[in-house]
Amino acid sequence: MKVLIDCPVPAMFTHGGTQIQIEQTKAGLEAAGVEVEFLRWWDHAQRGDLVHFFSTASNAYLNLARAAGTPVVMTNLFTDACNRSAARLRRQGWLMQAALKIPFGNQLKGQLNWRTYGNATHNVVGLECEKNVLETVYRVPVEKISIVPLGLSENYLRAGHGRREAGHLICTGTITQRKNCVELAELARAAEVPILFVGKPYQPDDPYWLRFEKLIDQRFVKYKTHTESEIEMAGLLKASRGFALMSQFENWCLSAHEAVACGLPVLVPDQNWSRERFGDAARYFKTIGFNADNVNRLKSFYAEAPTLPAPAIKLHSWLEAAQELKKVYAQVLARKSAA
Amino acid sequence: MKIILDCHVPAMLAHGGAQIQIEQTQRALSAIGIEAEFMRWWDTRQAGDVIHFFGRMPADQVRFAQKKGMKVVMAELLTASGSQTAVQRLARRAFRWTAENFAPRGLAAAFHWESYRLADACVALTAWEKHLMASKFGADAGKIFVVPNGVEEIFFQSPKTARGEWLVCTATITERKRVLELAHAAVAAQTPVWIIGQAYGGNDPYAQKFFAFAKQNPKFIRYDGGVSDRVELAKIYRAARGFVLLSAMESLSLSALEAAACGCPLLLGDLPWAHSVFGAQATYCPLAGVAATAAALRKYYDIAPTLPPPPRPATWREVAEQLKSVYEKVLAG
Repeated sequence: MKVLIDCPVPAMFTHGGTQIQIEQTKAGLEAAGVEVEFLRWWDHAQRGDLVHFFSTASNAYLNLARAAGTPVVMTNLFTDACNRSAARLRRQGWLMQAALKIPFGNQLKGQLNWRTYGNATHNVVGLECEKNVLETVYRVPVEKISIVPLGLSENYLRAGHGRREAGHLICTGTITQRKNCVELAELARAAEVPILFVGKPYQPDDPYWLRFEKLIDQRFVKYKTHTESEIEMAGLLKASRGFALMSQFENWCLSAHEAVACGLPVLVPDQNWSRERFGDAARYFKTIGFNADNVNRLKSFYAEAPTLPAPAIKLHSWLEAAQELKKVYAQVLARKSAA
Repeated sequence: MKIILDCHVPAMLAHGGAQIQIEQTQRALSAIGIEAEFMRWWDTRQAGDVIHFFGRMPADQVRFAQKKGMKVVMAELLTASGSQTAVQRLARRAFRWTAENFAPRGLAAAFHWESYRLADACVALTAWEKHLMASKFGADAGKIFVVPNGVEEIFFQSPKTARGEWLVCTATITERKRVLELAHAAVAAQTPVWIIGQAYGGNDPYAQKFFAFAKQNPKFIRYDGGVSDRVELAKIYRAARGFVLLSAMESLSLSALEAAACGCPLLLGDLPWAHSVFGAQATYCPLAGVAATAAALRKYYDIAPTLPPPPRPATWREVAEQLKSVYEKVLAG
């Protein structure tokens, strides 16, 4: 079996979870005995049994792949949509289906992703709430969706729990608007709770980063730039008192899982993704943003953190995740042969 | 100056003009001393001064590139848009205006029209495409540069030979190229046509119908698949009575340019792109049913030996020089 991994978003533009997921998936699949290559879009001689597309492929792409007899397994991160209420998703699905039934404008409709997920050979998502988006909004048949968890690298899985002696909470990830780092930093100052932020902006002149930078006081708003070393990151996590994150949206938040692997209790937004992963074993921000309730929640979490355990959830290695993916690929190829 | 060439359609899935355009552009740029690399999407360390994107680059990626200090040159083939009727174009403009002003932001954003306004430059293949980029998508006309496709030297250099009895059509065997319709018309008009090209997939129903029809009519339809040897293809153009392409949509047909480089007279579908490039130096056939097409084909077949050759197209090297000038302007700000 030879799998070609494709993604339309160049890694040179964005660092972060998707890039890690792609790199680790490739490594995991190779360890699981699957031949994997990144798709070289310019190479007409490259061949594979299927394409695993990270993000949303266009209908034109899927039609070409179908004509060439190449199945496309698609993994889109429904970071925003998976956290919407069931009623909102139903409404969105209904509106979309109604628009699709309008008997003209097919060329325009073809440019949207409304039919894309159904047109893909198969979809792989990390969470049940993402599967729900595919079913409710895009009406993708359940047999065309698989849930495969995201993994963690061995450096985190083997890190063990630390002494958590540093006296600060930790927040890891890109310093960007979606992560609400500025708002969390403002909460830290108001609550007088030290938080160590570890991450980097997408660009050094990003206005959001510049706002964040002004809040760094190395007392309540501590900052350390992103480290490529997982061992160093695990060390920073293990020394911290707890993990805090107030992103606008997340799906499978890798940084929260890394923190859990290092034994940290977590304070995260009360959203579908976090409830699905951590249930009652996490502490939650009821709302997003700077407000009195969140100041109190941060204070309480900081006070309780030393006695709180990390959520007792199943953590997967990238190899385990790859083995699940391998099964999905095998099913897809078997269906193709049967057809 | 380092150029990163990017495209979201894998060559392994779509052979044809776009792929040749990208490959030849990269080669020609390198030949004139410009460092031009393909975008390795997985490579965090790859860097360049300009991204030359073949297609419509997603607006968020244009922004990302620009924030990284890179310039974006966007070259989308407006194959479908360029072949719409005036009413269809008006309706789509109205739709864009409504979506951008009244619909939820996410809906308008999904079409990435904004990319045309964000890009540092747009490259159009024809004056017609330039007009569309400005009028349909709101691109700044001052930032749109018309740079045609080129033709490989081999086509210019191939020796002249006596023209034969067969018309030739080089096209992918797919619905958009209307090769089956051409084949039907050729049989009706009793004009022999050699159709050269491959299907995107062997099990494509349209291609299957074409293969079957060609097999039933070997007297008027010759089909032996594609010809990958460019020297051989040049010989075929040189020896053809004329070149025919009746696609429902095109942006700027490379095969028509190759045939033109070989001095082969052209019969093209009556579409704006063709008029924009060849004007009165080609013959046009309405995109109509079998009877009307057969009549036009017969007439063309009869006069083809007396027609003057079409205008000389650019070489890829000349194209690369034009692109270099675009990149320089963009980098100069």
